[in-house]
Parts: sequence; structure tokens; C-alpha cells
Amino acid sequence: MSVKIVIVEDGEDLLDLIEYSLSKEDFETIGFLDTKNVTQFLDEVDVDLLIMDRNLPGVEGSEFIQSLRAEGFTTPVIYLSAKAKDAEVEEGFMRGGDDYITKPFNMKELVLRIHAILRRTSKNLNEGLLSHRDLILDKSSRTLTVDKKEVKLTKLEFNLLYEFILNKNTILDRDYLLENVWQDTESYQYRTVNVAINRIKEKIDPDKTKDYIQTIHGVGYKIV
Amino acid sequence: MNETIMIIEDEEDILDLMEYTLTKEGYDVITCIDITNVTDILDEDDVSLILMDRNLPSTEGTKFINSIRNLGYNHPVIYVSAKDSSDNILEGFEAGGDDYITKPFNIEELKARVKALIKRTSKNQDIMKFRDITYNASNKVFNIAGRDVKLTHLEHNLLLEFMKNENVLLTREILLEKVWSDSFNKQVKTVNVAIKRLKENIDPEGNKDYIKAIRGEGYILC
Repeated sequence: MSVKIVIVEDGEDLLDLIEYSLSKEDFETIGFLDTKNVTQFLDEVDVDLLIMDRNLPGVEGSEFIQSLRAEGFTTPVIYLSAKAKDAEVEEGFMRGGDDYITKPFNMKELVLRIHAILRRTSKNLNEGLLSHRDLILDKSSRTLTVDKKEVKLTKLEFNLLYEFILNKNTILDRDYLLENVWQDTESYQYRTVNVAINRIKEKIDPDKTKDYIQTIHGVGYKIV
Repeated sequence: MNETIMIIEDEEDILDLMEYTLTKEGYDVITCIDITNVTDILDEDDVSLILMDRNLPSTEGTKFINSIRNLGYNHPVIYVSAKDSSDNILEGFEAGGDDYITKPFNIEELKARVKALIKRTSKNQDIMKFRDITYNASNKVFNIAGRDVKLTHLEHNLLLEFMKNENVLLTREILLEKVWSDSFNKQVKTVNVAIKRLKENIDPEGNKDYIKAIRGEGYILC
């Protein structure tokens, strides 16, 4: 699945330029000239990031974001605005933005800031390393090394371990895992989770000395 | 639980200013004037965010971040640097930064950017409070007066139901329905026994009186 980015910008030339630059990065872009149909679109499509102008016909950009946040949308937002005063930048963050770029801007910087946010928030972007104790997961090659030796995991096992490390010290219950790793709570049972976790444990800790994943009775699992 | 921010900055005036500002915002702050002990601290403490200067005496900030990224340290990083050209900023992001603030900076913007990044990356967002009881939904642990309290699965669900309904009278029937929903043992007496045991666990000296019994009605957390 590709990363989807919504761009709200009323300058058509600039909108075209941004869409062109981002499509070259293999992002899928959807452009809007104002905020009118954006909420409906976010309801229907799973969007990874919003790039938001502020001076727009109709609703002002940061006010629009404030209303989105109030409705419970948590999609990451980068403002791209000519409003460059300190107080305006602060206002943008206070109303629920994740980053703020002032116009005129450097396209390369926009791209890098997008990558920086997506690394933290998107399941659809595959780059970067994640580690825990002597485990290192590489998202781009989807490989795991345990104590510097490579261990083969299935796609599902990789995603499961990734979810645990992303939520270090947090107990994950089986419902959460089915929803976020299997992405299907209907057709699988709790037993599916138990079996998968046992198999991962055997792979990453064959001598059973390291105890990475603990079972919290009646609640779920956590990585320690 | 406060979020911990690590600041790596060799100019003491700026370091003091940032430490003062962030402490006032309620963060715990660890300061380092060089990178000597940084990875040791990251291993031992639960650091939520790193503020990273670039011109340091022993190394360059982006090189250091790049090197710890390759070791698998995944902490969010904001550079705070006098290196302010476009190319400098691009270098910062390419070396694994999450944000970049150029010096001189507006302290309010620094606060806003720190808050935005922590909000995105923190796991401790879901916290409920009642008097000296806090509940952390991410690890499902109750903490009373600074101490973690061990509860059974049932007691956990029961106390959570009360926390969700602060100052609301809950009848035994409602509690049976919500807390014992999947149990066969649905007797009113079950509730009385469980609440008595819960009270002993959360208030062993019996002087805090979190949960009051209302005769003939039910129970209330107030």
C-alpha cells in the first residue's frame, strides 16, 4: 500500500508543483483547493498526512485543523503557510499541527520533513531501524538480527514483533494485536495470537534464556 | 509520570534557558554538555525526546545522531543549531532527525515543537486521575499515592469502572452487567465481596474512603 498525502492549497501552480514533487517520491497525492470536501474525504480514505495552507478561501487552514481535531481526526498535519510570524507559527501548533513550514520553502526540506513524520506515524512507509535489547529490526529490508545474527521471520511475525517493540513496556492485549497486526478481528481467534507468539519466542530465543516477551495472565503480552 | 527530555548543548547559557523553560512546562530534563554519556543514559532512562546541538567540542551533532540511529536508538530528535542554511537543515533530516530549529530560536516555538513531537510519539497519553489514584491505560497499571498497586483482573476492571464513573452511583446490577459480563457467577453478593476486597487493596488502612456504600442503592466513588 502506498502512502497517501492530502494537500490543501489554493494556489494552483504551487499545488501542481507539490503534487509533482511528491509523486516523484512515490507518494500518492490528492489535491484540494479549499477545505470544503476534505473532511468527507478523510472519512472515506485512510490518509497518512495532510499538508495544509492557511490563507484559503472559506475556512482558514489552522481553524479547519482545530475543528478536525475536535472531531477526533488524528491525521498528522504539516502547515505550509506564508503566515511566518512567531505568534502565527505558535497558533498553528496550538490548533493541532505537527510541523510548520513557512513560505517560501525548500521543496527538498518539505520532502524530508514528510519522511520524518511518516517514519513515526505511518505503517505504509518502510524505512528505518528499530531496536530492543539485542534485537534489531530493519524496516526497509524487513530483516531481524538477534545478537547480530540474522533470524528469518514471516511477514506476520515481523509485523508482530515490530508492534511489540514500538509499544515497549506496554501490555498489548489480544484484541489490540488482532486489530493492528492481523488487521482483522472477525475471522481470527485469540488462539491465533498465542500460537504466533509462541513461534516468535522459539525463533528469537531458542534457548529460552532471554524472556523477551512476557505473558501477563488475563491481560495480554508485553516485550521487556 | 513526566516525560523526560535530554538536552545536549555545550553553551551553558542556552542549556540553562532550555532546561528552565522545559522544567516549567512539567518535563523532567537531563542535560549533557557533550555526548560522552548519552548512550548510557538512553539505555537506562526512559527518554522521550532529545534536543541536539550540532557544533559540539568532540563531535558533530548530526554525525552522532546518525551513528546512534545505526545502533537502533529510535528516540525522537529535534536539532537546535546555529547551522541554518538549507543544506544544513537537509543534512539534519537525512541524519535521522525529526525536526530542526535554527538559532536564535523563539522559545515558545521550541515548546510547541517539543509538545507536538512528544504527543505523536509518546505512549503515556491515556492517563486517568482520581484524587491520588492514577490509571495508565497503556500498561493497565493503577498507581496510588506514587505506588503501583497489584490488582486481580476483576478488581482492575471494577476500579476502572468506578474511575470512568466518578461521582456516579453504580448499582450492583449495573456493576454485574459491566464488570462480570462474561461470568456465570452473577450474584449480588459477589459484588459486595469483590468491593470489600478491592477496598482493602487500594486503601489498606481504611482511612481514604474512596468507595462509599449507599445503603439499598449501590456504590459511589467520590
